[in-house]
Amino acid sequence: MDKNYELICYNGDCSKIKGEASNVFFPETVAEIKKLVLDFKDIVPRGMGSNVVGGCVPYNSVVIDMKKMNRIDFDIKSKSVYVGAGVSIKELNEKLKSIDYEFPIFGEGSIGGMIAMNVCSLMGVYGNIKDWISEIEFVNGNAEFIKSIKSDLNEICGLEGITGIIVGAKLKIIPYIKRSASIFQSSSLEEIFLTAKKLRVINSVAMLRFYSPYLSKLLGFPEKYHIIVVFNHDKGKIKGEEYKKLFERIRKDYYIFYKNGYRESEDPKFLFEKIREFVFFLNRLNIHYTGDFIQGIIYPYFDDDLKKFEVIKMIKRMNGVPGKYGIGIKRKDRIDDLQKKIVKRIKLRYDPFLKFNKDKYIDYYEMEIYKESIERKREENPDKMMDEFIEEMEKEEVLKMDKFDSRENIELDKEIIDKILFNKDPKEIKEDKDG
Amino acid sequence: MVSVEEDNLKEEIKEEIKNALRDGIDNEGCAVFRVMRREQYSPKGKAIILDNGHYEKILYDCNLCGACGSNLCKTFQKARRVLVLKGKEVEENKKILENLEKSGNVYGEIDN
Repeated sequence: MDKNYELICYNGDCSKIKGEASNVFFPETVAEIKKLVLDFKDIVPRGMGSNVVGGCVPYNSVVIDMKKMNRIDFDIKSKSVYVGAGVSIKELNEKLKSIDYEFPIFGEGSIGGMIAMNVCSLMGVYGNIKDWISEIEFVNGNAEFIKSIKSDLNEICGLEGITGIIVGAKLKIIPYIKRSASIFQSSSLEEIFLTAKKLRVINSVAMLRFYSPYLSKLLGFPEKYHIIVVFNHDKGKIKGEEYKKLFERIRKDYYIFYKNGYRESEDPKFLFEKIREFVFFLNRLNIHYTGDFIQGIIYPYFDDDLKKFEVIKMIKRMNGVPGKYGIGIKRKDRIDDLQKKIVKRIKLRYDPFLKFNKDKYIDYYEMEIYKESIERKREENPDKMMDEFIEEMEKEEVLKMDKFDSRENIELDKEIIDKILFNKDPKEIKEDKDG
Repeated sequence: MVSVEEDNLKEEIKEEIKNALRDGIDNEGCAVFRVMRREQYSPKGKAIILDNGHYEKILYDCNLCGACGSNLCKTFQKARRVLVLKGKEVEENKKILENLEKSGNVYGEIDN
């Protein structure tokens, strides 16, 4: 980076948190990345910079911009494609379309960034990107190049770049599908939920996008509840160019909401049965929302911090988990102690010098304290360490279960779980309990 | 010395950039960004550079095609005007003007 004014572009991401990049590099090979990892102590990997929770904000760190890692190699025989971390999903799908294939994790951002976040597809039926990865290539904190297969994916995918720099990945692809859509409109929320419940079980339904009346209006629909149903066939009412236009509008819906003053949103993920409860709560507070009925994610949009605060409180109370945006800097309070402990352990294994993405996911000072305690233990008695860790994890599990049991709505949860898993009737469950 | 025109343009640009950054800018569609693959060439990157008060020649790295889906093209055009007023015009631009004067087309006289 030769001009200082250009460096400013790397000071933040879409979260609007401002940091400071000390330098930026644009590696084109794995060897260059390895050298950078050896040379620098504080590194922030960056893809498209589309993170909304501060996942690639540097704090006087060196930014490694991965966009030049843009190789795409098809292997039609195995229905897979090797993609460099810097390729965007849009670019990949444009290339795949020329050979009549597609990668169905529709979203925005680079492949590296999306793997780091383990994002879910806009078309809920395709799940998260992790389900579509055969192999990840990455460089760890010791500057070692590693190929990670299915069993180890959890240690890279979804950890927001704190364990290493993703260089590329081998992804599964599917033949291109000509899709179509239909729109269901209603003034009644009950009717919307009943319809969604029925549509969820239909195999050909790829997406069930839900909009509250006001957001529907902003998108150009009448001011009513809407479900946009996308089918994996072309028998829906909206097809061809009209479908493409509709899908683009949905894909970029948040730009429309931003322009109308709704610039903050949340992404809680619930069981389908809990969505209803949450949506009623949002309606009471007059909060507008959109949602994905297949993934179980609701996105409330805010123009007011006070309402957002109330909603976050409710999400925690209802045990909603982050569905799409991740943890980053903004939401470190959303992960529980057990998850934190596991992540700290994984991070230390892959990044022993704590070089990557400082202060993201877990506070840096917490990581340093943990690292020191591990080093001390290692010096004192190395054999005991694993036993202690297992013991600690078991204790945490018990504590977590106790906490879970003490919740007021535990009976309701058990009923819901039984109903979903075993198709049991609430009466039957009661009899089982009495029996 | 800063002229009134330059001052007014800068004020307008400041306001427009502030709004664009607040509402979100879509980098994905930008042809220049897709080839150059560096943040500073993206519409958002250029908006950030302007937001920080830097009027640089990188503003010419824009096709003014509107693929970013924002009104930034107009803002970048205004910013280029500021560059001309500052005397920071690019050589290619001068050449175009010269060609227009000499031959009436932007490519100049072409040997057929």
